[in-house]
Amino acid sequence: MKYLSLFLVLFMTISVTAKPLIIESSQFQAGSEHTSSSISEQHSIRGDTASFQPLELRSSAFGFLGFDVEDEDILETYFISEEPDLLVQESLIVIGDFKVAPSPVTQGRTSYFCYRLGNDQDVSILIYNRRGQLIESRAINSGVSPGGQAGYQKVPIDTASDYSAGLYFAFLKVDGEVKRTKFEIQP
Amino acid sequence: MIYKNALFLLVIILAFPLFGADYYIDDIYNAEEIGRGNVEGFSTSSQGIWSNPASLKNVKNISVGLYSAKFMDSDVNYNNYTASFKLKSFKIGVGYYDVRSSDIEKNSLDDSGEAITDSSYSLSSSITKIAIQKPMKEWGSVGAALSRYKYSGYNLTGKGYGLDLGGILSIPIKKRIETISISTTFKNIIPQKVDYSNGSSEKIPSSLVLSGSVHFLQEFEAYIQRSIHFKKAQLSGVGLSYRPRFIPGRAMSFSLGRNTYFNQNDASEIHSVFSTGVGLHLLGFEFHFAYQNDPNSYSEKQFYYTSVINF
Repeated sequence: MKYLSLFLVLFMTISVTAKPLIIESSQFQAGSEHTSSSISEQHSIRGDTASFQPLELRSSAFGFLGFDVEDEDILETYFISEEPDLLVQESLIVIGDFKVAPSPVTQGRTSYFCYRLGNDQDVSILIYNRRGQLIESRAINSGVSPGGQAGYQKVPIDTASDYSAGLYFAFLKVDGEVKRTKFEIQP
Repeated sequence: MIYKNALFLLVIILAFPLFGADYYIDDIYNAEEIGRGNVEGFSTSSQGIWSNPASLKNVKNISVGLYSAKFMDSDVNYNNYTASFKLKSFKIGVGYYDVRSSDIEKNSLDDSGEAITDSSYSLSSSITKIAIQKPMKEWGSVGAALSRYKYSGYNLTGKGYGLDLGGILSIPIKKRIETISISTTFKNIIPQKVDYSNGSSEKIPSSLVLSGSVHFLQEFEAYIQRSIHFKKAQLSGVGLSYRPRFIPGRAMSFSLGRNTYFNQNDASEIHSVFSTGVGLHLLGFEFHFAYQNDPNSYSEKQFYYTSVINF
């Protein structure tokens, strides 16, 4: 009996402490505007750990939190002078916010996933219910309209047949950048 | 007698009207049950009113319970509160279950067809339940629970009612297998709907949940469950719990389980979930922690907590 209980405890410990297969939270918080005043968003823009490190050191020199406008300007200058191509390229992936409109929407009426792409991109949209269960996954190829072309995109949501009423969470994934929104379908 | 009851049950299952069900109800309320495959009907506290009101038979005198879970990076909060107490020949249970989310954008399309945010709002949906349980001799228990559903969102409110009926049959054997128990619950047995302030309505889903448990070797309990969701799908659950005697006061319990659920919008899409749980039982206080692993979810690792005081 003791061995069995030890096995159960061991099993639970391994289960709970094993590394999760979820998308890093920094990806969900990724901002797309390089003019953002938030240091955490600047980190996300720069993407990988290698580019994160010098930014942190540099920003520490200015005082990591509560820097003034002058410091912010210096930081902006730093980004652009260090890796201008990367910055320009990533800021063009998704410009501005990812929204669902109209929301709340009455079931049976059409609503849209709305976002603006800097250039043609492969896009995926994941939709979860309020319990976090995956409801739908959409893949839109680069250049396909609506959804994968440069410019403002409005991807329709068929609320009549695809969804029951409720609260949903949508994630827009474009080239490693992830944006999140939530929307409601009302009866 | 048992055969007659089984036949009666079968007739009810076959005769039960099939109808569409749209109102979304989460079927998870209790960490104790989640840890053993979400098998319902054998809770030892007032939390049992969410699954089978007849399970209040396991409560001694008074029981107070709290449950909490968070989803989508704490964007959606689930809480429920239950209490039950014993009267002369029956027990009464009450419960309140609440799901909330805030900072939901109210969006519209402007003249150029682009999305703009007008404001933000919060929504909540709740279930208030009152249950009654009566023992049937030494081996049985029956219970009924009345549910009130309430929704509140942007410019919309809704409410509806439902009735659950449940029964538990416990057969003592007193050999290596001490007890076999069977739990049956009809959820929303009389087809009801939630009516909204905009004139629309949604049917409340009905289901039949059949569960069994076998208590053996004094320390183990095995569970199995089959639930039928009308016009939706059939789901299953299995679990095992272990409450060792070598721990003083048998103060801890451990459980394992596996159960299935269907996609909210596509009942033919069934997913499996593995779970484990641990319980702490001290002087009438119970704390249950459950962990679920669901690869199909936003957060693969999900945690649930239930605290209960029984006395």
